[in-house]
Amino acid sequence: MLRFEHFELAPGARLEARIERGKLHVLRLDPEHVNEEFLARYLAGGARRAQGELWLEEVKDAVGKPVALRALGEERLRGFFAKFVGFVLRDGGLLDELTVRENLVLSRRYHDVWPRRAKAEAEEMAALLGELTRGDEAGVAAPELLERCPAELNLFARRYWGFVATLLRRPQLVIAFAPFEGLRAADQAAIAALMRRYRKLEPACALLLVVSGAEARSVLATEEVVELRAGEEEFSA
Amino acid sequence: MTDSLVLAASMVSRAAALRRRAVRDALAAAFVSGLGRTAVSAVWVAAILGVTLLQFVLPLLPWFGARPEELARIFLFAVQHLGDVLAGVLVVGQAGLASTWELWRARERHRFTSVAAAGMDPLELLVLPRVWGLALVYLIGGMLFKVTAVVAAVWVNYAIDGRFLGPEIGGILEEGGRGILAGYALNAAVGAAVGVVCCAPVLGRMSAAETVAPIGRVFRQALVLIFAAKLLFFVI
Repeated sequence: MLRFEHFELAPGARLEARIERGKLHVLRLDPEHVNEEFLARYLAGGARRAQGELWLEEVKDAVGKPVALRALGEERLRGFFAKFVGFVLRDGGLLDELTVRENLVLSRRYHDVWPRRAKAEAEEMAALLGELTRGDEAGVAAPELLERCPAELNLFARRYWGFVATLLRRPQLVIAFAPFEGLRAADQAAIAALMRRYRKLEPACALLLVVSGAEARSVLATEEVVELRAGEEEFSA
Repeated sequence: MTDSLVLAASMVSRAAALRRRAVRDALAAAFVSGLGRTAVSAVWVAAILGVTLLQFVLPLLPWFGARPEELARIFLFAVQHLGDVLAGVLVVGQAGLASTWELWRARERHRFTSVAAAGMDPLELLVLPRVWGLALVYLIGGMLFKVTAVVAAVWVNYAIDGRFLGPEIGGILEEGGRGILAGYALNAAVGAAVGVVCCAPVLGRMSAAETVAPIGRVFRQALVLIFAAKLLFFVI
């Protein structure tokens, strides 16, 4: 569904890879040389300055021929992101000016969904993911957490709710940057469980985890993972 | 029947457009609530300025041979026109630079990326509410100083001839009435311009320090020039 073609992640680190539907992919990058947000920046409008091509299966021209993302206008590219791709940055990427609840419905409301429907959709999806009954380690229940601003939450909660906000849009491709970095084992397991629940809910979706350390290996030990490296592509069961 | 359907369709589409605007309004409200602190500061500065002029400057002026009417005009001019300049200083010094800092922090934390990656326009969600907020704050700041000028005029009038209402009040209200819309529109436009100047450099690759220093310098000079131009206009 997503194809990297001579895609330059960093000077000297090129990626040739294909992200398949229904699979969990882990892309390992060297933390010293690679900025993990590079891909997000590329997809969010920096495409014209980058080296290499990126193809999304759904992006086609009028006669059905695939089109590289570089060729799309900013507006159209945003439309495709909204529909197919979800990003989760290291700290969740939630807007600090809004509460967590407002962050959860922001994207839907921006795309002309009526507030009541957006809220109902968010609650329905969160219930499916099992989030509404979840609290934090201090015993604060989820409904109360939802009314707080992201700056008041710890790294795990910010990242966790960032994940939930992204998954509420039901993207077909989820790209998460360093999802386990700096977290305790229990928190890492909680995020892995969230991803597992989402994959169960959307079996055709593809997940790409961009990591720099070895922490993903132990957390995802029981998962079937497609491992990617810059400059090569190797598969392991 | 057709007319009713067209009307119903237009009402629905308008309602949908309003709902979409509600997202931006929610964000704008979040910023404006923060920027509201600046308006509160404007009240304090207006009060301090008024009290300082009334208590300390006004009693000294007769020593320099000023007549009561001249004294009142000098005082009202100072409160009214210096007020605009002070409102500008507050907008630039507090809300403008705070916006620059917030946007710079948002950029460093990849908020522009995350908003764009969710299919939304970062300019619309992160930058424009701040520009509107600054326009509003400058507008409110300007209004507060006008109100202060009217209150001060009442006070001065009482100090001069023992009546609360007199020719000075009539003059200031008349002048205010004439230029009220133009003056507030100008204030809002200046506030929006401050917003654009404060927000635009952050969209490039400049750091917060690189952005803040030139903005402060440019606006300091601009405000001095505005005040000098007003003074010249008043004298002529």
